Amino acid sequence: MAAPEVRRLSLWQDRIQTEVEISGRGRPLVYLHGPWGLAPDRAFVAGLADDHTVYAPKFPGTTHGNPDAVHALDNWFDLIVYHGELFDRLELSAPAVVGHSFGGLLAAEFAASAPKSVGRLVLIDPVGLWRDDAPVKNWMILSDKVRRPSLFANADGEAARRFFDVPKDPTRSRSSSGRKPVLVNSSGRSPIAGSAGTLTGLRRRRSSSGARPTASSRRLMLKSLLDESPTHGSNSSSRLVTCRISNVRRR
Amino acid sequence: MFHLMPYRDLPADFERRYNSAYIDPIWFDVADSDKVGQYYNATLDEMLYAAKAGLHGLCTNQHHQNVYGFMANPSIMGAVLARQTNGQNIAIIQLGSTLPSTTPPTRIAEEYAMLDCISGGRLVAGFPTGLPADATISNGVIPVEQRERFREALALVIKAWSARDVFAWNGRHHQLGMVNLWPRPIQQPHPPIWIPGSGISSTAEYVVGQDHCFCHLSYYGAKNAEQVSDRYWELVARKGRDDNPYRFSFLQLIGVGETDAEAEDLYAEHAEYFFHKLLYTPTYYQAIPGCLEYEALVQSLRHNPRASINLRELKAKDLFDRGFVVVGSPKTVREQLIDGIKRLRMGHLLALLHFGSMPTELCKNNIDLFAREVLPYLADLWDDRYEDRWWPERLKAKRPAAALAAAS
Repeated sequence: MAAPEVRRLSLWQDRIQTEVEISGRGRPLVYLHGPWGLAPDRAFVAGLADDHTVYAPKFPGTTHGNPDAVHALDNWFDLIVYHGELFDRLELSAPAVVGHSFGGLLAAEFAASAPKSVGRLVLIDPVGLWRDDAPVKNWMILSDKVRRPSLFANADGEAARRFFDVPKDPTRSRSSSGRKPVLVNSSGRSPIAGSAGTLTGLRRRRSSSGARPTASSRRLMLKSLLDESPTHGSNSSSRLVTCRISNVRRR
Repeated sequence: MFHLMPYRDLPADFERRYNSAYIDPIWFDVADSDKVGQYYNATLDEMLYAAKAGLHGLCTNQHHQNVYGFMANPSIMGAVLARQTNGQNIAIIQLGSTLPSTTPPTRIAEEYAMLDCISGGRLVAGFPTGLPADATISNGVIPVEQRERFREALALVIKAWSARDVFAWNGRHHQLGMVNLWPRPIQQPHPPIWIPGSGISSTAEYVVGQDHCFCHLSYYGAKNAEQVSDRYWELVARKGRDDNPYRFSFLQLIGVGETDAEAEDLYAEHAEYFFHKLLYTPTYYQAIPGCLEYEALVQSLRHNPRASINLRELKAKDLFDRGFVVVGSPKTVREQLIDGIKRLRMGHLLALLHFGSMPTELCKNNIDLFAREVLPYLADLWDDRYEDRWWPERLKAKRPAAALAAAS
């Protein structure tokens, strides 16, 4: 598989420098990663690139050397407008948008706010769809013992190990260009969950005490999800979203 | 005197039932409201006793949803202390109300101004950023916003205290069309400002930049704070500030007895209670993603000597030997404290003379011995060369030439 093209963009009146990894060939698709950064999702992105041109932007603050970019965004509305600018700069017109976890929340917000900018919408285990009887577990404040089985079916498997692997030598990857050190895991991939790059880049979520619905995510449930049922796949999170949609419909 | 106001009578198996002193303990399983009423009153009694014994300051603090210390609103405690110590040469050190979790922050400006007025200009205005568990979990502050909210709020508070006219505040987090605070503090343009921190990060940079007093609240003793203090003084020099020791405060657990053996015997169970049950907070509640800025996070991953310590495995002797608690006869305690004060260039010693399950009588005994046998020997360490610019002006004139031992 060819390495993705890395396009560097300066956005938001040059206050945010971000990287977009572009790979594959075919219909355009934007992939919005989860709060752990893009790195753990690269294998999945490669699969999408089999029949799409995949644009995978790094969330503001998770691009190496620019950890404070997230502070340029004040709120959700800023985030939506920022992604509008990002889509414009990439010259994308109503691409498919796939969002995973936090990326799913973001994709849903974006679709609700700018429906003509999204051709198809896929949400993978999105956060933000709150039900009082099924509160979202905030994995960021769980012990490792509880967190692993909360996120992985096989808590001791290779995927979980790679995901949680903590950097061993933070100075190892200091680049010759003198950029800030980027923490890497033992396999040399970076950043990963648990690394400084990712942890400081975690988003302005409504609250860290658990994902809460924003005003527009509530609109989305009525507007986008209910009308078009855009979720795909057969995993448990997709079924959960479907269940939620059915629930709302019954109201 | 520094006081945390902890729960003093947790069940013996508390640490087996709960992973953390924060968030997890269920009130109705371990606590009793009548007892807590007694604890609040005992805390006030102990602090007022310290004032009469001759300590120089009384220090309150704010924490939430934990057994370790729950002065949920330190201004309530501070109001009692301010009123009851009128006429005494003692500072009311609020260390203090947390700005990032208070909206609007002018509420704290008002409370502190009230305390300064009630106390007759004896307030030291402390502004912690707040522990991540307090700010993020208990108060719903978005982690990545905690520090920027703090800085904006403090700027607003200082302006609200001293502005000569009505003004509008159009900040990123707070918008107030007409600010005209009533009351204003006696101390103008503002009371001395102290800001706590657990290490040298962006907060320390900010504190030195603003020329406020930095308070290192480590709980691991002066012996283990040399790296932090060295980095602090390097920062002070780099920013072109003077080397006045009073710009640096340090917290130390202290237990004084008639002899070393007696002191170790008296304070052992309370030290173990403090470190095993109260201070124990796992990293997933303290190192919440987004709460640390990038450089601080890199620093904590590269060098965190405490990360490998399991507090619950340490016995009292370990806690004493490692210097987490300075315990012993008056001679032993003053020698260790003077070493620490000099080595760290500590201007204000925040003496934690109550810790853990310590009963009031033992706490008062500790206060007595400290005030009588230790405090006088800390005098004149810095006063002949430096002025304490972070102390209420009205108290300076009355203060005996002595190093400050503030009980916070």
